[in-house]
Amino acid sequence: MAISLQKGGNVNLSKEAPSLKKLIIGLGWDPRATDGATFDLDGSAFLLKADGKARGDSDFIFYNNLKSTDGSVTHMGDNTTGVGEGDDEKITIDLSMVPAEIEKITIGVTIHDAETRKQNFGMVGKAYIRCLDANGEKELARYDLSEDSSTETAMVFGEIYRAGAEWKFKAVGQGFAGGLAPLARSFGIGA
Amino acid sequence: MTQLAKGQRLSLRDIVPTGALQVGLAAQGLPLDFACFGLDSVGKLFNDDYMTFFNQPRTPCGAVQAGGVAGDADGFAFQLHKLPALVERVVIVVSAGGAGVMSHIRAGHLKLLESEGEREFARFEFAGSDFSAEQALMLGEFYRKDGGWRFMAVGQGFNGGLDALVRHFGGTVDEKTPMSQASSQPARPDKISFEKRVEREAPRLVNLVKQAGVSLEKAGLSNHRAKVCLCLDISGSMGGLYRKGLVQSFAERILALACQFDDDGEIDVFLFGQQVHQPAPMSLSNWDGYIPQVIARHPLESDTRYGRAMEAIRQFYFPDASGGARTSPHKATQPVYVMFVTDGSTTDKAVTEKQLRWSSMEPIFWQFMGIGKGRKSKSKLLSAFLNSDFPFLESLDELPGRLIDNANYFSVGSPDEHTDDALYDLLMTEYPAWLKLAAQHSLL
Repeated sequence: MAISLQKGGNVNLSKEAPSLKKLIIGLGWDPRATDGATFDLDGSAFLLKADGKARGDSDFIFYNNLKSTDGSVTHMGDNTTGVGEGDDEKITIDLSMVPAEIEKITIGVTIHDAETRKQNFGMVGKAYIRCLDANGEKELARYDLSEDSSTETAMVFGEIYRAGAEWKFKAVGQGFAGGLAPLARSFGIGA
Repeated sequence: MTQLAKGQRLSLRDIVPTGALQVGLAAQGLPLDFACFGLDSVGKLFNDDYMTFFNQPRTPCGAVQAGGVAGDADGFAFQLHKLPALVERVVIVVSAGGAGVMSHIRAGHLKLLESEGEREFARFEFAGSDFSAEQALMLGEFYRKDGGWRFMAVGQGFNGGLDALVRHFGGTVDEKTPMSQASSQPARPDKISFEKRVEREAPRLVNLVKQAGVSLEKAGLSNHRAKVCLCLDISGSMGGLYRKGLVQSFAERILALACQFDDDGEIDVFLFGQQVHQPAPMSLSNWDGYIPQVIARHPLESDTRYGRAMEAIRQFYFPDASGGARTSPHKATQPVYVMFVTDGSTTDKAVTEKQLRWSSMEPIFWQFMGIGKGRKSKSKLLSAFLNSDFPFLESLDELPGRLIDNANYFSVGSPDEHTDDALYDLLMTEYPAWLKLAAQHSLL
């Protein structure tokens, strides 16, 4: 049984799955049916050092940069509508390949073109992030953040971080104003 | 009070622990119908009894009741704890009648008030710019979470209107029921030939008639029929306005409005000062130079008595009451739209208030326009706020003791202050909402 997290809660993934090598991060959402502008949500990952900054632009994994240079983080591609069963987007993390200087991997989701389409996360229902062991696809942890959805256009859903030799996952659920570009800049991308 | 943004959520547990609250709804710019849907856990209509609107104003459990609250013509009273456990969500929706789309909304709000409406604790404001071609919207919803109720401001909808919404909620669309209230008037095949007549007899008015049509379409009143009445102050102080031709050109704009509302192409005119006079109607055959001729026959007078003029107008349209007391609603097939123009206060305030109260039971709408300094003037000068020329007209707009709000008031520095389109929009600010109220109260 996967651990269901509340905002701010964390779980030790290495304890949940002692043989864990590769992690699948599943992201899901369910925009309300409407004839207004369609929703296009994008998941992205940031490889961050201890100071909370990325080493460079290549540590920003998103729809235009699907794989980190070290091969540890792979974005499985963009789902532009959020329609369909299962995860809307998947990001895989090969924990054994994550460079030692990377302390955490932050997973954010942004709404594409949110300003023109007058959209925000409050309008997205059933948003969640879950962690699965790639070996057997067993769900290890899950965070449903609909009730924590902000009226902002970008959100950090969660983060995977080192705790000594182990890996932990934290349910973040933090809104961020402005969308993908400012979110990326806050992690030192494009600086 | 919390201002809610689209998508914002609010826990009601601490604010209204009993689950008793009211929702006030209003929107200007087009006629709208509001409804409430009780939904089950998969987002489908719990059953047909849980669609609450003017034709079915109460759920069997009494948890949802339709009706105006706290100054808003529309609204609902909720006792959320009375809802069957299987009702997981209650969605408040709005739909436009006729060809109206939500981008025509000038300004609207959804207010949340404590049980008896004593305190407003949250408000969701919306405007046409938030929308495009949607004909129906989910404005907000109550939903269960962790044993309590929460509210979310939604503001999303469907181009297909109420039918699409009902289908979205798993209901079936009954051809003859739902909420399409006054919106299904027959089309007017005679309208085109009438427009030709305007072109022939009053070419100078063609553009005005078209402009009025645009505003009416925005207000969802394209095929609306009403009698238009112009009531003009002929007190001495109006002299300059008459001499400059400003009243004539204003009357032409009202005649153009009447051409949209009525195909006889005429307006009934009343003049008032100390006395009330009713000259021959202004029509497509006598409109040019009409006002100067009328004033030549009825020189300006020394007093201003609104009440007496209103009495005469009521007597003319509803002779059964002889302009006197009215104690129960009076029904007619066509409403009367009165454009009431004055530049000063009245000397018969008590009579005026009585007339306005009595006429709230009649299908007649009073649009007052004060010429001078007023708080509601376009000019935002501080002096205009401090020294209104029309404290009484302003108070009439809010007069208590009426069946329904049957009057609106605005002031202008000069009758030509507004462009044609702005004037017509202004004239349709409250009239569509009044039409709806009048229908609800069996005046139409």
